[in-house]
Amino acid sequence: MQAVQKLPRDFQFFVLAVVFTAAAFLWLFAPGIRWQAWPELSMFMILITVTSTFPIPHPRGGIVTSTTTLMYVLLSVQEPVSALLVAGSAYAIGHAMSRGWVPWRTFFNGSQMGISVGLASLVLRLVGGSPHAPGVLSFLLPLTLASLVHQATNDFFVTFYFGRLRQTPWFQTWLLEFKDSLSSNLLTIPSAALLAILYVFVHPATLLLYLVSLPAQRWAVQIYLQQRQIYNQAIDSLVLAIDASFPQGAGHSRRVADLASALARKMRLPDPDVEAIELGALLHDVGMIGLEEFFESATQHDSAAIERIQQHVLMGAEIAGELPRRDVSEIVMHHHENYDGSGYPRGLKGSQIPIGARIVALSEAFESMVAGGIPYERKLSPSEATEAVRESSGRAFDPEVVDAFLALNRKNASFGEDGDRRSTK
Amino acid sequence: MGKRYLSMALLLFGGMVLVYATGAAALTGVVGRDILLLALILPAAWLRVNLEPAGHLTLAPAVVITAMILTPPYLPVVIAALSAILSAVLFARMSLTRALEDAGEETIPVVLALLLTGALVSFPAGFLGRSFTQQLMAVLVYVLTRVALATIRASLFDGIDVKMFLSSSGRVLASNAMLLSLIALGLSRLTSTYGSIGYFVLPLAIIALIETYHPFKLLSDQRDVQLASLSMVAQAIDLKDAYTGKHARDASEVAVRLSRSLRLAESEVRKIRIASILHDIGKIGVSVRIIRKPSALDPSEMNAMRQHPVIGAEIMKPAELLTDAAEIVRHHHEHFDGSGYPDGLKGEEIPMGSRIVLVADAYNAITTDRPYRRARSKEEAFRILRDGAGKQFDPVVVDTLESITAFL
Repeated sequence: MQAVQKLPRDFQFFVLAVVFTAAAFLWLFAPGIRWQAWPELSMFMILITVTSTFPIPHPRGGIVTSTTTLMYVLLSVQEPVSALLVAGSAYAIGHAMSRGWVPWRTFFNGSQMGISVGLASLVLRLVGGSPHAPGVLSFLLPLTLASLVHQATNDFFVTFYFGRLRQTPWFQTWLLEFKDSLSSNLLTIPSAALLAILYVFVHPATLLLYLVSLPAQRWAVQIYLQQRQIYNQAIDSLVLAIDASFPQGAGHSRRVADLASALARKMRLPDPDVEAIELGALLHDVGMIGLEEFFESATQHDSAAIERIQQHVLMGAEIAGELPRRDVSEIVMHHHENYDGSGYPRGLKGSQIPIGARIVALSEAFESMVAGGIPYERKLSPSEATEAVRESSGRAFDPEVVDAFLALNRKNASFGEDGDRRSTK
Repeated sequence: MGKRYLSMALLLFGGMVLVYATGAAALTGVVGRDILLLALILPAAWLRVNLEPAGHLTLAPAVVITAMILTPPYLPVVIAALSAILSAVLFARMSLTRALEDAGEETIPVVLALLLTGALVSFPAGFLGRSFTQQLMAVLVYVLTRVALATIRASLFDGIDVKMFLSSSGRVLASNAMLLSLIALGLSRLTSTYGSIGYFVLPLAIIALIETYHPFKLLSDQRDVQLASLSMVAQAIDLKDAYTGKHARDASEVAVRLSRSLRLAESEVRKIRIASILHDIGKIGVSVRIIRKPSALDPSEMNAMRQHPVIGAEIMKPAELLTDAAEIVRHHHEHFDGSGYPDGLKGEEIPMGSRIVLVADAYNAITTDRPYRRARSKEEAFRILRDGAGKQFDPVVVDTLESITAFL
């Protein structure tokens, strides 16, 4: 990290402004800090420092949930200014210990955390929420509101910080950031509410019980991420093997998967479905392994060979059936069905065909057209292929998927024009 | 066989409990508090963590014990049964029979705890107002029975050694049930002290517990997915050969059973499972023409074919998870009398895992349909294996296989 003097002037100004605001609040409201509650305050200090020093990686990336939970307990049970002091200093210490001591960065991080926690605490009090009166209206909803305030402020500071640092627009990033962390933020509220109620009604030390579970959680998430990586490697090697026995060659499965998941997102399918569609698209031709001799020989049109080729979807579905998700193997099974019922292996029609299979069918056809392979002898340009897809709407392809595809094309200009986009690879 | 009796007993018990519960509920009537507890079954059952080598845990004990202390005695029984059924059917996609067995296994401990403290028959008061010592007693009975049943089941159904089970899954099950029960005791105390606050806290606590346990669920689900991905790779390689479907997966089940009966450490069992799934991965480096050649192979082709264990081991060595299993793959064509390949190892020199994989694979190959011949019976398979014992196969492994016929 460079010295702050070398960074953009407006960035320097922003960092200083945040630090001064936090300091000013502390100075002004210092009499409000209940120093007689020092044992509780120091307990929070230690807990937040520890949890922010050893963050638990979130399974989907980023986010430290344990610190957030503690922040919400803190802002529920302590005065806003105490919350500002404790949250800010503990977070700064934890940050410095885990990412190294850079004075201006440490002060900035402590200050921004202090301000957002203090502000949220203030909001909780203003709307009358208190853990002393547990109830949905009297505590749960106010706490939710406070957590949203905390998240919005915190995300603002962080995105604005990076926006000014890299001189990039920040508003869009801020919105995205807020939306992305919304669900994990809301999920922390029940635990935080519970801990706050136990803190008030039973004993502040109940918070320590929560700390006990953290090392085990951290361990589990780390092992999970490792295993996930190994799993991805296994899928990658399988994809490599599929592409090797396929005339369209390297990268085919990956390109089909990218297009299919883009289409699924465009059609606003839920995340787990998009994941299944991506996996199904990656594996759609897994049954093709071992069929290479049919592509090598010119006599691929006799009926036995055609039957073998048609059989690949059944074998593929059986292999993909190993995965505990049935939708993946359904995609592999039905990705050669046509919307009008003229496809194989079952001749399903319209909505009988799983949506994932309809999406992968179009993606594969488009990819094969522009790459030139079975059954498309001649290579088409992307715009010709798009036209061909449009013409097959309602016959081979689901009109809804075709619409999504066309919309995607319009949005993504690099898709339609300039000849073969693969020539650069 | 004990396996069938246990299955029948659990099933019968599971069914009886449902009848008892419906009757009791009709007699005592259901209030809002009961409905809240019943609603908590769903999240508690959703969090299902599968354990190695056998068994699973859920959050059900927390709800069950809370219900035991706060409500009429039929409700904890219902909750135990329903949570087991829902968890098995909805979240583990098991058959209804398996679900009822689970229900039996979950409810017996509750019924026993209630019986021993005399609460089962004291309608409608049940456990209400009992002293803390008595509550603790009931919890102890519950936890001990729960673990004992899981142990018996693992040893009868999956052939897992009792000591081994108790030192792995059993320990996790016991500490989970104990921890959740203690949390439930705490929560019920809160309820009896502060009234409605306790009921407000209960769902929050379940959600908080889910959040805490979630990483472990992810981990256990990922373990299944990971084995699945390896077995997809194995089957894809099999496509080069005559495709034999789920053959690799079945053979690996036999190998796992064998290793457990031979009392191998669980870490060793894991290696053997992976090795037996992937034992033919080296065929990827052998030309399809040789693999599929219908006539006898000439010496150079034979040589190429005999390289597949070596290639397999080479492929697996660099992959972190597979390194340990590579050695087993390398030697899975060694014969007990030293006539095998690639290194001509003899007897005890051959890794135990390789000897197991060889027998399991042979047994599975004989008893399943192949393109060139039909499946043969278990008896015939054992005859062939016995003939080969001491020559191709390790006699101890063959004997062990015969001793676990019931599980195959």
